[in-house]
Amino acid sequence: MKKFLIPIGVFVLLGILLAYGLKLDPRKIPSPLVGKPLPEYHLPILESTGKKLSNSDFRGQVVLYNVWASWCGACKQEHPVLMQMAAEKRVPIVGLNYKDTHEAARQTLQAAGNPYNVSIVDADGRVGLDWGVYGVPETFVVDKQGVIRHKHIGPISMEDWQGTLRPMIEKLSAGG
Amino acid sequence: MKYCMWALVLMSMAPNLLAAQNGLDSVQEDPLDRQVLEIAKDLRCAVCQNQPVAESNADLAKDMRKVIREQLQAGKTREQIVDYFVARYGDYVLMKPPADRAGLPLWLAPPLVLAVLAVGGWLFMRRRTRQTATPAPVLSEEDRARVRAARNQQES
Amino acid sequence: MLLSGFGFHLVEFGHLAAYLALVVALIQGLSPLAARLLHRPELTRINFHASIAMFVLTTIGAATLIHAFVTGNYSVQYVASNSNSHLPIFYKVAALWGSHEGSLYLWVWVLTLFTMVVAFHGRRRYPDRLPMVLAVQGLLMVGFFGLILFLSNPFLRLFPVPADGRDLNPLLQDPGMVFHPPMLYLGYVGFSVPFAFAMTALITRWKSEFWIVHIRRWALIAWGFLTTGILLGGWWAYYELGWGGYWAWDPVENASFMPWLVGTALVHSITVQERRRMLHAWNLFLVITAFSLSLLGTFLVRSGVLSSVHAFAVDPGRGAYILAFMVTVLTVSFGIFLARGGFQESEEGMSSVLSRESLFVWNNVIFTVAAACVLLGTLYPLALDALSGGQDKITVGAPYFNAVMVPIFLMVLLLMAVAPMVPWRKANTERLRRRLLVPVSLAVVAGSIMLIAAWPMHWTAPVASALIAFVTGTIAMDYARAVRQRRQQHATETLWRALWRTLSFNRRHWGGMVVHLGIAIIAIGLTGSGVFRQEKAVVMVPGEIVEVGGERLRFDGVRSFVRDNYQAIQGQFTLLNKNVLVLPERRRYPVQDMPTTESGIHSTLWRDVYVVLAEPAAGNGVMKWGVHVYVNPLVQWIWGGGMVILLGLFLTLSMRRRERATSPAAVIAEAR
Repeated sequence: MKKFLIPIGVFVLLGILLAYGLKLDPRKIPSPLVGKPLPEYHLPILESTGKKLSNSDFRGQVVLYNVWASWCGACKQEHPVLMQMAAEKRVPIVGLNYKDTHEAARQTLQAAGNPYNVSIVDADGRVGLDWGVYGVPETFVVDKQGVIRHKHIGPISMEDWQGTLRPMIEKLSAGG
Repeated sequence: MKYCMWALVLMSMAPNLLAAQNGLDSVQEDPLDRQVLEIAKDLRCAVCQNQPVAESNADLAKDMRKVIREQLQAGKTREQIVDYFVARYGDYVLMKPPADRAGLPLWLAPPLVLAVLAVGGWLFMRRRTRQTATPAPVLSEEDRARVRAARNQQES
Repeated sequence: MLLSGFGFHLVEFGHLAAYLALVVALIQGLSPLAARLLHRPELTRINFHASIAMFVLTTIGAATLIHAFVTGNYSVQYVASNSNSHLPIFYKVAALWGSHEGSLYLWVWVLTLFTMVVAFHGRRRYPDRLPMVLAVQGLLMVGFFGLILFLSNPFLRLFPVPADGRDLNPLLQDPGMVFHPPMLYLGYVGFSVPFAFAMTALITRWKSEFWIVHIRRWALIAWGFLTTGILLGGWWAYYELGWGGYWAWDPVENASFMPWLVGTALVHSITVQERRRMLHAWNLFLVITAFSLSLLGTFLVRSGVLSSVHAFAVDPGRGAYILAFMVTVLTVSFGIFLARGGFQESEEGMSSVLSRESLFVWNNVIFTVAAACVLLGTLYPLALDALSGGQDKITVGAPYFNAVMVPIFLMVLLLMAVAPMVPWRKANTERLRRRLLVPVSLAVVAGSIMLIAAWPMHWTAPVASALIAFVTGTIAMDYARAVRQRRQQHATETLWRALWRTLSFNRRHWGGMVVHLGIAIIAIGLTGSGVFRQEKAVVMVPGEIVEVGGERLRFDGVRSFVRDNYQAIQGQFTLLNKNVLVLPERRRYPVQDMPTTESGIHSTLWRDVYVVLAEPAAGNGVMKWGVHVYVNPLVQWIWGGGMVILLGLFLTLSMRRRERATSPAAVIAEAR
């Protein structure tokens, strides 16, 4: 009967694995871009017509890019947290307005408050795709050299901000 | 199988005659579309669970098809396009797991499991054949009759 | 007024019945223990009646739920989420298993049905063991009723009562979905019966000659239902999902395929035990594994640990419960197996490494490898995710499974061709060679024809067609020889009578061969549609013609119409070479605002023309439509093969009493 211990052992490992698997989220995909430079962009600004922004405009400072859209429900959920973050003024927050219309985006910001220092417009989602965005909201922490240091998928909670993002931004800002 | 092959051959001839009669040209598939779909078949759409980009109607899948098309037009090769997506979404985006990195165990395991079980099965049979096989108990006609009688009694 | 809105309703009666059922299941599960502790063996007699009560109570619960669906009682939360006043009545009934709570209820309903059947079957045949068998099933019912009543209760009420329901998932509003889940569950749950017998055999030290007959029969029945369920699932996916395929190696599909593979190993190796009194412990192990995989399938589908196109409700609490239940069942059953399995050791040795029994061992090796590979591919993404702490994710999609499983299936075909020609105990190699000569030549011819006729192609096509010809050849030769022998012995019989009597005289053997033939037919369908599929994705304006694989299809335009439960845009196509209409649709189900595609299919024995109406594209004021056309050769053979398998299974299971009485196991059993 001892030989049956091997397959039974496999089943036991399987049980442990599945128990662990219950805690994981199959919908979250890690980004291979973390640790790599943020892909180049050259995008118009939501608030003003004609002017464009690109990576180089933020070189030398830590930036938080937040991918959002007026049609996205989870964005409304994280909106108060973003407002709080904006009020703390630790880091410039750049909104990447993803596959949205100008009017809807502006109205949303006017009605609910604008947490962004500036919003750039990715109307066809091409830059989003370039950044590996697959769901909104997503948030990127980019360091002074323009390298992505962290990616947060899904709405940011207060705990995420205070526990992960803020300490990280403080450390990055303090360092060279 | 072979009949069906002949049938296929015959079938493929009949419509040609029809086409000649009608004198109509059929719509051609855009070769670029085909190339896009062939690449999109092997890429997983990240938002739709377990579905290739080619089959999905999700917005992201449509965007991905658009990007594939543009990159093909820009003269990129299939490998370059696949690499572009892998660089952004990771190995996750490949429908077929890579045979190196994290995907390696997946490709090693099946032949390994087969080898282990085959050796196991072989050893089992070797051991069994060495044991002197006890002859199957032979029932005499009398015994059989007794069994049958008992059974009939039970069932009636 | 308030009271009439949320007053007593029939469904509360069903809810009460479900609670009563939990109590009865507990009694049924614990009666042998109580009888032993109190030294009152007559206590176990209650189990027969308890199993009938279980079925009646569960049926009452199901009936009240169906009543709530049909009468549109949206005060029942489950009805409100899965039905709608516009839903056709057919789907209102089927909506019972349209979502999580109800499908678990269906699971347990099927379990009570099987248990009752076992109770009636065993009342006279094995009265001393029956209470234990029923007790094992009673404990399984306790587990499932616990889950249903405390974590996913379909009887819960809503207040305030919504005016209408949120509708059944549109993808499930399809005839295929009405029959697919019950069939699949009859298969899953069917394996609980051999499981209960195996546990009883181990606990009560039952002699293998007595339990084997029951386990074999029930394993075959469960296998038959599972096969039907899987094929119906493929059929549904083919018609409903609109990508031209029938099997995508999705985790949910794999979940049903794993118990099928282990079940197939089981129905083969159990024959070895019956004929040659070997592999007893292995068979019990397979029984436990098959049932565990059925539970695993339920867990994977219902817990949301794996991402799947079948977007089922994700609820970690339920997942944790099912996992805990599964682990308990696994631990207890394997514990009992390790403690008592030694009693069920084999009695005989093998005579030769080339014999029917040795080839059955190879069959088991291959099917176990197949099941292990599917298990690995299904769970590897999860394992990698867990081990890397979420830093590494990978997709294991259809290309992987095809690459790994196709060679395994080809090995199965090879074994299927050779094994039935090899006699029990010891094969005479010379005679074997002579017997295989004709089938092997047939195989070579078939493979070569394929190579020449369809060059160039994927390597599997010639190999598969050779092996299919090999399988068919051996079965045909075997049958021809048997018929010839019979005619020599019964010279007066007509040919037709001899053909039938040969089959009917040894239904077990020939039933099995018919099943093999069915598998070969399915293999033809899989090869044809897998290797020779042709497709085109075009944009069309009404009046244009597209040609795919020799089929000419004219697009005549679209029309729209409204049905009770959906709005549709129907593409009108004429298949010119057949002069028939093909009508694919795009539907929108307004309640859930969900679009679906209905493919338009024209089938013949040789190929399906499969048309999907994709998205419209406006251009120059003319409406253009994206159209996908697939020509799938031989797809219908897959469903046809399924029918043949069922036919063979009926033949095997219809084994007559005389045949049963002279089967070796029965004779030995009675001799003791």
